[in-house]
Amino acid sequence: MRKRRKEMKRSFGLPHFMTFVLALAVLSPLPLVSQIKAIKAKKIYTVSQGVIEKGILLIENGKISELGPEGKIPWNAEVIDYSQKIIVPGLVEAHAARGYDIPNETNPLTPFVTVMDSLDLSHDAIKLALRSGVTTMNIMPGNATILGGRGAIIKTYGLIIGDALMVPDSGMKISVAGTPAQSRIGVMAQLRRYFDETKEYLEKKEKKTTADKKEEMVSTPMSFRSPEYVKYESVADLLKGRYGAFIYCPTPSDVVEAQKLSEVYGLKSVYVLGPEAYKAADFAALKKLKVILDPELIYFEKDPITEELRKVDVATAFQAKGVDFALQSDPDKVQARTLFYQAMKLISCGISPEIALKSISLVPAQILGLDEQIGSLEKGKLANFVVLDKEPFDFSGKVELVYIEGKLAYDRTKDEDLKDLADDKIGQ
Amino acid sequence: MIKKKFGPLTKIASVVFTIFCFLGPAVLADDLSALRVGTLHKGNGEILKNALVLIRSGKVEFVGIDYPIPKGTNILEFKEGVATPGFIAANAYLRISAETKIIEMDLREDYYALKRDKVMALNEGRSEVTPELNALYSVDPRSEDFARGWRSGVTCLYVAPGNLNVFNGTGTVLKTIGRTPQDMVVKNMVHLKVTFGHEPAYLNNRFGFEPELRTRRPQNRMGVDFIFRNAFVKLQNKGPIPDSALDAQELILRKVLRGEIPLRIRARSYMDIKAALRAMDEFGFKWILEEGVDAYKYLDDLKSRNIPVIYGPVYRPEGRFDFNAESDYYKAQMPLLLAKKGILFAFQNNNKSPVSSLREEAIFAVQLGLNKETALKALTSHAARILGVEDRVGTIEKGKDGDLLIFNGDPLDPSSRLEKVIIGGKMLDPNK
Repeated sequence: MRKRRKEMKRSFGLPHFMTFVLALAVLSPLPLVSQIKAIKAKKIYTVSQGVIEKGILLIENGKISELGPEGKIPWNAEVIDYSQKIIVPGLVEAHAARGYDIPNETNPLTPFVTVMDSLDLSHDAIKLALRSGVTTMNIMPGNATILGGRGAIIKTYGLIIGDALMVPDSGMKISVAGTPAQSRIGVMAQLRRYFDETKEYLEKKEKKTTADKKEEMVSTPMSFRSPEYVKYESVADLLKGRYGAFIYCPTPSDVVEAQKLSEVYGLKSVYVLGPEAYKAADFAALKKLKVILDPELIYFEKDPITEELRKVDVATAFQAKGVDFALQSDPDKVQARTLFYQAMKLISCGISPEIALKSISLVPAQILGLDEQIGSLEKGKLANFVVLDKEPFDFSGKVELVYIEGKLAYDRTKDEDLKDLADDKIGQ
Repeated sequence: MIKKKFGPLTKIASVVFTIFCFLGPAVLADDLSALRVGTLHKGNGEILKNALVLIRSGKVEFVGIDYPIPKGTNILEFKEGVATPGFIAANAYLRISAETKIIEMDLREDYYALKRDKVMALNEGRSEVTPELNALYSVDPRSEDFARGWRSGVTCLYVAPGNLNVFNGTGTVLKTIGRTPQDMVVKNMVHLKVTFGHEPAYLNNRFGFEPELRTRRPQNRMGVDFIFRNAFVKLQNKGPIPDSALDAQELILRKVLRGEIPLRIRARSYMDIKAALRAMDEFGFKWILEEGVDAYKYLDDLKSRNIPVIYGPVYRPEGRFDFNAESDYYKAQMPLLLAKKGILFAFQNNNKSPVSSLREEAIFAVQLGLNKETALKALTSHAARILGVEDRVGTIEKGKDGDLLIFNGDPLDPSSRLEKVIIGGKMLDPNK
């Protein structure tokens, strides 16, 4: 034994040591170079380009650099093996009135507020969204105010708003629905008046000469903003088309009115529908409206005369007319708790799984105007994706991992809240 | 003189008419319907493939593979269909429309919601002890929730008076279709409902409520527990007097002590469950735990004393911040824990989860790890057993009511659709 050890000691001499050092010197930059992640998967649902069996996803700088069936993996790539799992794009929630304490202001006309001031990124609603596979959310004010304020598009990961923010002013929330105190006649009048006043304000502003502006600058401190500025500037941005409007329309006639309003004032509008608005499917198809369906996908309609109930599949009504729609979820209700669950509901109404998946990924991305970045898995888009253990709409399947811009944002095995709640067994 | 008025022919005619009156409906109502389904869950765990079900006059006549069907009977084929017994909500909160359309009466709603929506509840402010109330007499079959219920697969449900006093009254089990409450009733006075905890008390020490609510006595758990025990102690102290000497309240309480009517104790926090267990040792009644949010702390006690649990809603998004949840912590996997322990349980709804989402609650429980077979039993046969109506509903067996649901796939998969509902042999289309 001793002899052997001595021999070994002798054999590990200077030349060997030198080669070891040399090898270390050559190999050490490797981890720095390897910015590429190669992800192997059993199936990749790209949404826009069909399904890739045994696919490989290459990620570089947070974006998808290559996507295709199993083939060459770059020598310097970090290989992550999910070859037993299924990958779908990160889901997109096109309209969510949650993630803060109170959704609606008491004043009905508050276009100057923004959800960015009240957004709480550690809110349970955002954690739940990430847990259920949502990577992008458009947080909006609630449905009860006429001019509710501006929304923001966020990633569902990060505690600092700067990290999570994707688009700071995603749109203006408008509600044309009447309240118990005010019918739509008053709501529309108030909206038109506000828009007309804003137009006047803009005209006045344009008339101002540079000398006037200079004087204003000198006479008032830099930080001071006139009440007029606060009151009209955000609506002015809306009228100029810097951002669109998200109009809440609970009834079919609201949709028509909202469309008229958007045409007159040149708004880029997205229609956030109530369940009853399924009757406006024809109109939506005719005018090619962008629609977001109500979380209540199965709607019980009451006949006003006979009081008989009728069950309506809201999504089927729109699909029959060829309207693309985005889905919303409502975590307060068991029947609409996550986007995956909503999509399963669609399938129960006879809609194909492809369309169901599209309506929670690509269509909402198109509605938000972010379809060049998110919504499907394509070369050049952000590497936002969800790793599932089973097929997308197998309800016993689970969201195992969520990647946002190529970084692991959620790992089910490390979700402490979930363990606390349910022994790590909540499904999709 | 009077006899002369009727001749022999009229006599015969009247006899024939009387016979027809008795037999006629039976002949006319001989509505035999036959169905063949791909898969049939009997409700007790048995599964039949390619099963034939015969329903005659609302009752199941045959369940099996082959049967000599009378000629001319057309068999409804559901080759891909999966049949289950109708689902039973072991406890339901309904909106019952009263005389005016605007005011809706809620059978069981929390008080703040009532205040907000200006609705009336089925809560009795007259006294803390009102076991004589019966929910059947406040049921309005026009309620939308019945229609929503059967369209979502709930064919049977239990309703009881509200929970803002200690002895709330007796509940009733109803079918979800029918023109009058008496048509709908499966069994009346099934359980005497008692509410423990803060619900009967929390309104009494606040200002700004109706005088009859403010001037009520108990203001905390001790008061509630006292009123509960006092009612039984008073009865026991009367000694062995005959039933005829008792009033309506005491008669019901005596039936409880005899074990004829089980108590249904609504106890959510662990203190209330413990109080109920103690009272059981003292008075020896049978009881059922309703909405036992903290029941996971007493699984052994519940198992050893054979106490069934009615649990729900399983999905509670508000969690520990829920105003009504007295418990600071809830476990979403409660159904799984109850099933593992072998405790009989069924699902219920509350004001935040309507009757129409009963199936979704069960699906959520399955997603949390409960096996499908147990979940289906909890929706059907176990619920029927807890409600004491297992002789009529809960399974698809000979002699029972013809209450069936036909799905186009796994009944506990959200992506399968309810295609047909059959209640008492009556075919209904839930998708219309």
